[in-house]
Amino acid sequence: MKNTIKVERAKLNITQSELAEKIGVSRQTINSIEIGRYVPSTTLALKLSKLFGITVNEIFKLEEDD
Amino acid sequence: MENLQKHQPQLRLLPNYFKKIGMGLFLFAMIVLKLVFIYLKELNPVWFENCHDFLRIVGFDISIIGLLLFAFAKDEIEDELTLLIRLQSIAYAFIFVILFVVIKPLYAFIDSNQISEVDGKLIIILMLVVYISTFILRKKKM
Repeated sequence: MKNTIKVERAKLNITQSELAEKIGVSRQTINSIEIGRYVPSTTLALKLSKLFGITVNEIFKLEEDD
Repeated sequence: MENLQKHQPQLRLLPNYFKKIGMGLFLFAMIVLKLVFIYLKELNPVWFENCHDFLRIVGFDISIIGLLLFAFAKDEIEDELTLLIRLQSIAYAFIFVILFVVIKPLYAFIDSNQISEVDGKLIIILMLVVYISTFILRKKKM
């Protein structure tokens, strides 16, 4: 699964730590999601969606082998 | 959102400051009791002979309680990834200890033709140590 968190984060001009603080997780969690090592729960995906002001589908996209 | 979080998988953990208490107890058991062992043996050998087993049991118990508190105290930021790493670490520790209990007596039997059992407290300490090390290493990797 790929995601656009890094891009959306850049648009808001915030660091991983700042994003982590805003949604109440650790910086490692944001890093792991960004590099695709960890797929977040629905709650966390919805929090990201709310913060970025876009839908979950716009942030996360399934790849062919998913 | 807070309502949503109630339905997320959760583990009831101790507050973060229990990490310090746990580490303190473990170090106390390892260092202070070891020193007591050494000096008591020299100062009062008769008393040492009587208390030796008691001190050993107390030392093991304090170490176990210390490790347990350390292992199940919350991290500063406890989130869903931390929970996943905790569960994976518990699984690794569980599997490791089962293999240890099966292989160690077998190895002892093949090596020296002796039948031996693994001590329960040793198993618990080993399980906690493997859990804590796996948790710390996996968290650092993330």
